[in-house]
Amino acid sequence: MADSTNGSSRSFRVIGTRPIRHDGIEKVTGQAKYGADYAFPGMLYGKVLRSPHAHARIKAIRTEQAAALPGVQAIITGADFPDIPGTTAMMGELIVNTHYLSLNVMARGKVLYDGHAVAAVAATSPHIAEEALRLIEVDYEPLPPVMTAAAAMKPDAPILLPEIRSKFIAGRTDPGSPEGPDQPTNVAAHIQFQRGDLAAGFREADYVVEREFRTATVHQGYIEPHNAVALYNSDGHATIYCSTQGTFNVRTFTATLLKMAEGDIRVVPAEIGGGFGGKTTVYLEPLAVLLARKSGRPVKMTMNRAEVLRASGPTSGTWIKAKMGAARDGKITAAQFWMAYEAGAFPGSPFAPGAMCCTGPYNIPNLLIDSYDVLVNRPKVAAYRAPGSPSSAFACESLLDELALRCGIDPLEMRILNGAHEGTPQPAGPPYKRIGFIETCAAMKNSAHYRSRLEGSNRGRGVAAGFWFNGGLQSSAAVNLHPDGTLSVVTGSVDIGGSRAAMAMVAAEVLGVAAEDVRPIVADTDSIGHTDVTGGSRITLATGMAVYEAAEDVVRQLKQRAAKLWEKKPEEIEFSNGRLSAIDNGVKPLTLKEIATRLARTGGPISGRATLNAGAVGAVGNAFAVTCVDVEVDPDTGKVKILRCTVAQDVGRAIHPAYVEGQMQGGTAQGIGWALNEEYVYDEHGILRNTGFLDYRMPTCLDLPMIETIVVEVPNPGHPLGVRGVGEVSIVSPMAAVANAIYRAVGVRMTELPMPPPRLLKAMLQDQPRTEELHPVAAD
Amino acid sequence: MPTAEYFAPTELRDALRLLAERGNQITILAGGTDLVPQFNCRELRPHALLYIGKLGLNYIIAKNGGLAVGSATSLEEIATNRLVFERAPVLAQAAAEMGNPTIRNVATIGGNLATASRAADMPPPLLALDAELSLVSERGERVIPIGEFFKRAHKTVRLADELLTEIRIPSVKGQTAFVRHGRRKVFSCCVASVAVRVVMDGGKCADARIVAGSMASTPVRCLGAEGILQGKHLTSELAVEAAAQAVGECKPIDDDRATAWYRRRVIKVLIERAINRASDL
Repeated sequence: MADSTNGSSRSFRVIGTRPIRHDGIEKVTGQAKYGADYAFPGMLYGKVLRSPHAHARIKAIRTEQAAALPGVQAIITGADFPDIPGTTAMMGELIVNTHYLSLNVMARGKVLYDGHAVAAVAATSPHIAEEALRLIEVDYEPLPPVMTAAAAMKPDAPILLPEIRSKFIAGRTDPGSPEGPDQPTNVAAHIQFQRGDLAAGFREADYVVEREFRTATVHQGYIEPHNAVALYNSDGHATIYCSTQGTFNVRTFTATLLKMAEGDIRVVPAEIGGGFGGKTTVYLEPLAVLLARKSGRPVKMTMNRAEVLRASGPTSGTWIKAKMGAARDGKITAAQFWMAYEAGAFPGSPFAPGAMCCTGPYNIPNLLIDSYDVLVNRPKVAAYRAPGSPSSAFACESLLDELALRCGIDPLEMRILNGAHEGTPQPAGPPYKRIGFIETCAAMKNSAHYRSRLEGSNRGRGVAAGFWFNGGLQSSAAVNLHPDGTLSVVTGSVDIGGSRAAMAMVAAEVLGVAAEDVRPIVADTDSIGHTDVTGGSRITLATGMAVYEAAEDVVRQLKQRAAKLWEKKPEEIEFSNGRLSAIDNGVKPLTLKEIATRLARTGGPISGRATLNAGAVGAVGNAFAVTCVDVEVDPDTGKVKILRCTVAQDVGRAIHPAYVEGQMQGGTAQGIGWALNEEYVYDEHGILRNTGFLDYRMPTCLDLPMIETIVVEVPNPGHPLGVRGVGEVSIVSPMAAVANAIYRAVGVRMTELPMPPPRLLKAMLQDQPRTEELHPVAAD
Repeated sequence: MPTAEYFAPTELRDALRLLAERGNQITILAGGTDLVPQFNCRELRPHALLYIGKLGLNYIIAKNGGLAVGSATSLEEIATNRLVFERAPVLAQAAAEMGNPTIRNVATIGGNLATASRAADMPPPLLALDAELSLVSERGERVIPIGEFFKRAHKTVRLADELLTEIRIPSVKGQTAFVRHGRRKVFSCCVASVAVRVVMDGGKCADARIVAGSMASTPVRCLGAEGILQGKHLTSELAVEAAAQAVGECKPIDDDRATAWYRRRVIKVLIERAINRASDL
């Protein structure tokens, strides 16, 4: 079902094939161990008491009764946590302030959202721990909740964090402007990108469209809830088993929050049942260590689904005002975006990446983007697949669709006409290196789907594009050659999307063996060099690069061994397709398997290694995707049926095409859920109403058609194999694509996400006048 | 630590004895799809549980041209049973659209009725089929029309010592349809649903049932709308008229799944479609 275009002529033996994943059998037979599967003798069960208020002062916490319950072994509250100064650290794509991270894992002084942790108990059974929670008395003084960016930005809004002052915002982010007044604010940060002359650009436009957009808080919806099992030994060393996207992050954050030495904590990665960015931070890990230290026994903690939805990190709801102008010929002349991202209770929304990606696919000469990080009484957001980009793209791609209609230009043609290419400045300024946006649009334009005719009433076809800059960051890898000629690849990158297979395939390609001859291992934090999170679509790119280099290190060592055996210089040895030979052909070549048996005699075992920093976020391998979706709207109920959906994406080089396609389909499925049904619903007191999957409505497989994929390969010049990150960008464009399709089906421009039947029906009944004739979208 | 007593008798008389002695303290447990999550979240703290899954109440049998269905029969059984498919297809369809396979495998028809959720999926088709319920206690059996069973949301006429043991579906004439609107294709609570039965005689509608679900605190039998169909040739215009009348007979509420405004809009469409479908228009 996958089309492949633009593949370069470089030939590979293993890369581009579809071997069975190395961890597949363990997973389908239920033998793989996830975080909650770990158990130790004497283990206790930890449970968290959570705030029933969205915003309240904690006046007193009394734990005596709970402590007296038989079976209760330890209780912790905010008083057990040290004060952590406010330092910021990069956590994949988002910046983390450790002071606020500490306050998020356990409230002190104030609770700032429904579900905020206020105490935790470890007991001999989960039931006793839950009963003990009921015996903890907390006196709250409720404060008025602030639930949306619009409410939080009002001058008289209740303040969440009094230490956040307006003068820092003005000073930090807008160096040209005079220092603002020094007063408390819920606006934690502001970023601005500008280029050209905005007013002049809008004067040049023949058509200008301006709209206000809103998107709801949405959750990643990973199936496996957060979990942690902690052991604290009497020598002061702690071991944590948990499901996380970043074992080294867990180590750093837990050490920082508990004022322990990083070297005193070992984090062992369990299998992970989904994360999508939501498992790049800590919630339970520091609590479990503290409870284990206090009780002297291992402690297991797991969240239930309601806890995950109330108190882990969804992504921001947003409020966006956007304006875009184009000349009659379709050239965009100017664009302006004002965006507020809800951070939740503490600073750190993806307001900056949202701004960096907003108009990313396009070359817009006159541009002004302002983006704000706004505090609200909701859970602190975490990363979610291309954080920030989907919301700003929803606004940008909706306006672009309107302009295409006004200009009477095919929507993909419009995107190609304005499309970014090598040398085009990104919204943040730096020019793109070689990118494949135009190729991706062209591939979609030539696709069977786009060329097909869509007939029938209340049906429409929409397209939209998305950009994600992708991460580089630090990775380590080791490749070990076994005596039988097989190998192991050891990395610190948790496998969340099939990366074990990709790592094995990269090593197999370099070493001329089969993918099945390489065993990929995900090691704990003491067993491999530092490795940043599995996030930013960076594993196949950056950890893959480390594996590539480590495998080349093995090749170097093999050549030395052969040189020794053959009494030649290493430069005189050649290695290709898994065989060592002499350049002068003077000796009988040796296969990898043959030389593997002679390691002891030639200098001992061979182990290749590599560590690297693949570059700052966005420095390597930017990714673009285009979504095309056909919908049918039920005019009487407002229900949207997805008839057909295709995603085209520039992947650089597909190492394992099946898992690349899986990523593209997965991001698209999540995007369609975000478009149509998913949202956090709070009542007037700021209490979350839909705390389960019954009413937090992600699409099921029956709600979606098979999502078709077009793998575009424009090799990334910054990577030895041409790889670009592929995990995230496919979630960016579906929301606007669906909205654009709805418009073309029923003539209603939806500017608020999600677009569930009641909201769409209401909009359809509000008799929106059409301002332009619909242009047929079928290319031929 | 509070604990709950748990009873799982294998004889009906033992269950009825328990209910006679301590009915007010006892929570009856069948499939548990509604209760167990509430226990787990500590929203409900039962003193004593009476599990009725071992009483032999899992059956579907042909009776007097109709059906007798044990109250502990799973919805999956109802959705796939040949007898139900032949004699009460509207019930099979409603069961098939409820929840998802894992829920249908354990959820029971009796539980779906006795819980008396506003959004329950079994009541509309059963009302459309003129079903009767058998309530049994040590005092004897009483059989009531299902229309008299529901008092308000989560409240039925079942007395503390009674057990709902059987659902009886008489042999009824006519063609039926069930149309349901949820927020997803599967695993979604009902936003609005309707079951319709029309009996045609000489080209005219001799009798009709129109029952709306999720449109009030109990299932709503839309008598006014049924009256509009009575004695007439069924046309799509008449379906529109009946549907408009039916909307006035419903009292929907706003909840997390939809607003009352939306429910009124949607039920009108669903009723039109159901009438058209049942009468092959």
